[in-house]
Amino acid sequence: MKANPENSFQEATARIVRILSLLDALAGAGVTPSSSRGLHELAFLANVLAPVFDLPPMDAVLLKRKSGPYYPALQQTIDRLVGQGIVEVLNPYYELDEADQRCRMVASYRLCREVATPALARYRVLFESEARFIDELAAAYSALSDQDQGHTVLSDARYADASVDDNNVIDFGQWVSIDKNFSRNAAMAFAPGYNLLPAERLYLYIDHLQQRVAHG
Amino acid sequence: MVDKTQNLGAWNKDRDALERMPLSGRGSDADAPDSVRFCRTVYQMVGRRERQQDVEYDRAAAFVLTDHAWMDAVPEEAYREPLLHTGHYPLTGRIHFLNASGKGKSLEYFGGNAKLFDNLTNLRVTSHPTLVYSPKLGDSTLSWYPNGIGDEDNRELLLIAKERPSVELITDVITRAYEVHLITPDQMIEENKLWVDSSRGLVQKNAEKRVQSALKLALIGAFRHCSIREEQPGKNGRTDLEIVEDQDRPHDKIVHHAVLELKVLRELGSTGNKFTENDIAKHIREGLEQASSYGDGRSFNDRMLCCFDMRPNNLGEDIVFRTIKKAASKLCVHLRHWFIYRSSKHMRTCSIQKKLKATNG
Repeated sequence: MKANPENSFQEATARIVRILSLLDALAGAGVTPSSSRGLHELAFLANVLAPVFDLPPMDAVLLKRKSGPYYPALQQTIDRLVGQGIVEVLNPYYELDEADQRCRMVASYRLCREVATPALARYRVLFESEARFIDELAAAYSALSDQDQGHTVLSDARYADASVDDNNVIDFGQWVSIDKNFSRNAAMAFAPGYNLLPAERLYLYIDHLQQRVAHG
Repeated sequence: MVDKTQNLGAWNKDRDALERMPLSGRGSDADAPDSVRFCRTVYQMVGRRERQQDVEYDRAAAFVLTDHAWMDAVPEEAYREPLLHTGHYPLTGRIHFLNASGKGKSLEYFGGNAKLFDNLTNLRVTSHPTLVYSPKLGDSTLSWYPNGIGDEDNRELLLIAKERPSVELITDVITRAYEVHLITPDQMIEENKLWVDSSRGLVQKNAEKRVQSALKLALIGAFRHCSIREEQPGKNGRTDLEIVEDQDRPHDKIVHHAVLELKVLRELGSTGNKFTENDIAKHIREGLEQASSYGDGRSFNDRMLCCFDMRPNNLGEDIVFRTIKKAASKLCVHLRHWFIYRSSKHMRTCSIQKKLKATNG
């Protein structure tokens, strides 16, 4: 089946916006430059936790890898943004991912503010709720140490669920019911009987994720 | 309502832990403006630090509210302390560049208070909103410079010592919010406009919700150690506003300071539908019953019925609450009344009439 070029363009644009917003939000929380592993991990958390803010996930499926979430299309977008001078790359090198037996580029990234600022300003006006969600999520995520960032999602309610084996697809809303989004379900399980703001649930979720990582 | 059957995937065995997890308060003020949130975040961070045994009272610290772009330009020596909010890490002798939720980087400085201010000047952050922490055992303060330390005249002193949100303090906070945001149509910002048409006395259908939003922000700014929660469900219904001390506490140790039931008294609805005196009296009594039963439900220390009167004439608190005063006293519900004027002219006229009445004895 031929891909619809209009949809492809929209998806590509959405990925660019997502990368810029993640890097901006991480910078706002002091995580600058941001590691590639951390970026992919945060992209995953943004997908599974978006429904807490009543937002749709950008991607509701991904391939489960032993080493943690990795979005090839998102990485291509980052590489393109680096080529266009919108994102700056620092200390790039290739690392053998022993779990997956393949090489991955590892690097840190930060925005080239003079180029990215107008686009980000427009994004914050057009997608106010999404921007707020990404900001809160990045702030909550920044409570993780540099060492933990990029490695915590292996303990995530959805990612770590044993019903999906490595190298199989995790689906939390693309073809299956949203009830299969266990991360969202867990975020909604805090403090029953209290009407918490969505942002508060993100902080609690990351706190619990951190505890799970700390206690194995 | 929480669905206990929801699959939590890899966290299924953690269900009890999730349900019992103490609230941290982080994110509970996400709907407040950045400056208000920043002050609360830093206030709570300092409070947590001062509750630690190894707390330092040696040197001052500065907390600079920093935007995303500036964070990219923070000096290279600045470091990230991911758990700064926990109070387990030193705050003094440092300049902290933080966002509204207290995340960012810290930079050590050497020398006394003068050096701190020199550093802020050299770093070109004299126009960034800043809190300066002066630690002193039992008497610490935060100096709030909303326009940065460059504008010394615009400074507010915040005491770290907790103040219990008493009925008097809550009333003062509401009165300030009323005077700034609600008293006349000119004072009301778009989101909080209570009138559909003030000249005809038509009141917004969701006026109570709008009052609730305005008061919530005021209370968030005033009681920095408390969470201000709205629409909390209970077996008797949903509360309008609650002032609780729930941060870092197990759920059974939460201090329930006050529950506020809000009522807007109106003669005409948004489409001109009329409310009779009887309707209004019923509405007030319902508010009293709600404040009392919500207060009992969660053992609140104080229960308040706050009425915002949008009728043509200000009858005064005594007359408005005449029929429920005794019951309120028995039920330990505090009654408060604020009158919303239809225009600045209406307010002036009422004020003159009141003065003349007082002079005539």
